[in-house]
Amino acid sequence: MRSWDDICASEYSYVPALDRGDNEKAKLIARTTVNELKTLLGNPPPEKSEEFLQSVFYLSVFFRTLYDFAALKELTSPDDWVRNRESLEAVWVKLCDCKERLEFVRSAVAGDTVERIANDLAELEAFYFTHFGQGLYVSPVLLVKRAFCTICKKDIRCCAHLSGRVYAGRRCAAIPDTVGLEMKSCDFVQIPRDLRCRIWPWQVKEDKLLGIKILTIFQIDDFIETDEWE
Amino acid sequence: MDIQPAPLEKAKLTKLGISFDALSRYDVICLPENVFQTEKAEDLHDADDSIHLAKLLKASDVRCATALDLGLDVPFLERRSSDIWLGVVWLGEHVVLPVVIGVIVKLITSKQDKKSSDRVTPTVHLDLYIERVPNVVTLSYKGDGKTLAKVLKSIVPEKEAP
Repeated sequence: MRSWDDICASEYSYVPALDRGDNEKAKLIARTTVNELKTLLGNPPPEKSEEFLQSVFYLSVFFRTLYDFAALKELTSPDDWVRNRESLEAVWVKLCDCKERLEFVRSAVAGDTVERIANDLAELEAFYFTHFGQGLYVSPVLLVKRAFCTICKKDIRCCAHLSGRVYAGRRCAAIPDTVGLEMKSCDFVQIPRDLRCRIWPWQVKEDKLLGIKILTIFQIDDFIETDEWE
Repeated sequence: MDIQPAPLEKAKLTKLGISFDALSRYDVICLPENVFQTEKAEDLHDADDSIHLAKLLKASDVRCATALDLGLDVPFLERRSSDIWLGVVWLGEHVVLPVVIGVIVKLITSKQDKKSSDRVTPTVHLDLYIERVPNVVTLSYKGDGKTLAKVLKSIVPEKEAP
């Protein structure tokens, strides 16, 4: 494991790799750093404070954003990606992941890299809006009988933890119990919570919708518990 | 805004298992969003953001209860739209209005800030019941957060304004 300063300085080897168009290298740097930060979160040094854990958490989300961004660059590097429906959908989902994570870390991390990524993402989003419009999205309404807090594992209604807040390096979220979970309806909206559930023109076939995403399980920090990278 | 006799509304709540006594023990009650539209307790459901609001109020030392605190184990509706659903908020007669309104405004602002890059402002849904014995003043709001914040601040008497 590298020192804390070296981990933080990974950004300075990531950016040149990205500038060279070496997305593989950029991804590797970001991924290695995320894994080191995850190890720190899992086994924090005993003398470290809650503030330190908060920093590790935000930094791990930041480097995961850098990983996503390099992956996005990789997806959009072939000249014909804009003519391929699968690529268009995959890039849109990666753009959403990257944007959500970046918005989250912006309260804690600043600098040229953050601004650069934000500008690039805005440009890419503008490309979609220009060519496909603002879009229509699927927005399901779920009836949740019980949901558990990711911090204390209790019923989210009974604890004091607030969804979305970070406590000692862990982000609070309400995880619905699948027992008693019911989908009440599915709305079509212009402003969804989850932009990934976009309806594309090619998914509308006469009076049917084919292959649309109804619900995704994305969480800003989902990579901490799992080893999913793509 | 609408003014109705308080006993009428309270009778509806009693029918669903929420007692007068419970109402008097708390300053604010975050009620299920369909509490005044249904007659069966098993059909009740909370709004997604009402649990969050209740936690913020409790953290601000406001005597606040949810349906669960009153013994009603009701599910909640999770809507995957970007709107803010606060459900029915019942404010007791002696509630410290500036504190409660301050918390509601803060919640709306923080939720809107998170969506700052979104193209359109999310809609806030809130039904407010303010007890002014012998009546209840009701405000049913569906609109943008900024206007709601202005409306709520105008409810607070000048001498109490934060």
